[in-house]
Amino acid sequence: MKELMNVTFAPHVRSNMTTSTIMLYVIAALMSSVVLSVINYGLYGLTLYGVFVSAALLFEHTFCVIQGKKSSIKDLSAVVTGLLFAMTLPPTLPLWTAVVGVFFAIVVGKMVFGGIGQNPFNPALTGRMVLLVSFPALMTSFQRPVYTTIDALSGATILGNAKTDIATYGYISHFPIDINYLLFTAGGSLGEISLIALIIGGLLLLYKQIISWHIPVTFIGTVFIFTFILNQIDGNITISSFHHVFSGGLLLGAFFMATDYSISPMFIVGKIIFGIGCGFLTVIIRVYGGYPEGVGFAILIMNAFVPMLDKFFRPNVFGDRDEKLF
Amino acid sequence: MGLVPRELEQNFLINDTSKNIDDNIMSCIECGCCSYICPSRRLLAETIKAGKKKAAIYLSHHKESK
Repeated sequence: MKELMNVTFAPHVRSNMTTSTIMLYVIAALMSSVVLSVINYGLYGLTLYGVFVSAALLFEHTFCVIQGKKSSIKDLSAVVTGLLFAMTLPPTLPLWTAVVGVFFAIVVGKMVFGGIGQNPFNPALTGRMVLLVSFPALMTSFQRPVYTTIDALSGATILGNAKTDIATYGYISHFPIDINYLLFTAGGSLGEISLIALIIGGLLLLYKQIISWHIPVTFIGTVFIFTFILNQIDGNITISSFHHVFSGGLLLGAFFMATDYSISPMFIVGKIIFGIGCGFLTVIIRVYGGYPEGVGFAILIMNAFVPMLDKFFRPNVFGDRDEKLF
Repeated sequence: MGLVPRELEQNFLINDTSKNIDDNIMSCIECGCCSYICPSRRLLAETIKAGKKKAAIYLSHHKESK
């Protein structure tokens, strides 16, 4: 007689939220930025996105086949990695460089560790840093977007312009702050084109509780406060706090990359310290480092501290009288 | 509750019962919230339940040896 009932332990129902659902929400949150960047950078921008996503899916599927495992591309994590990775790169990047970067992001950054949830570092940023170190000229040649609200800019990005100003003149050109800046920036990476789109995407993730507010708020808040203090000390050390927050990949990194589940702390105190560390390192690299942008390196450095943060800032178990440090 | 279901599951899978006891696996009340919410559909509650049985046997052996 065949089994009539399949008896299992509770729970017998599960939440509707699966890994692919979460990834779909992230993709939806990124879509406005993707669309605006395609409008600004044209068909080549769209081609780049297509190449990144396709290559990510192909590499992940191939690696799973080689390992003899079931393909994991259905969870859509490769699509998110491809999109995020594309958004951190200049819109002039050659396609072959994109494929090399995606290989390092997906295979080296994620699959060799065991796939999604096992990687210690953000895969997109891993790929980005490999490209930055290997092909610095290609990675730092930005293109001014078609729609920009800042005309008096000698470089393609405000952060790059600030670095050049300090090196050349010893002072920084200060740019106006207005609402138009939030719509279309002075340029930069593919995904940095519209701050409002990134903010809307981040708010969507917060609303659907895909991410918690602790890391983005502490990350952005630390950058703002630290640069405010530096500007009070000397107005020519760096650009204004407003421009620091709304330039470069800070919003993209704070909402979409630093909050990745497997590379961020699990507990609240750890998340706050992680966010503060990311913000602090971002400012240090931007102001005193050789690169105009420090978000990627900051997140990767703090990723290395996540196991320690999870160990030392674990909350006491309810009812446990064990005296732990925190 | 303060427990980390993923770690309790992993400790069970690698047969590290003493670490599970240190991680307070016996405090788990088997509410099933972890299995309910897990987007990867891991069998957390089920594995922790099995881990608790192993931990109980481990603790009883340690009591006897004392």
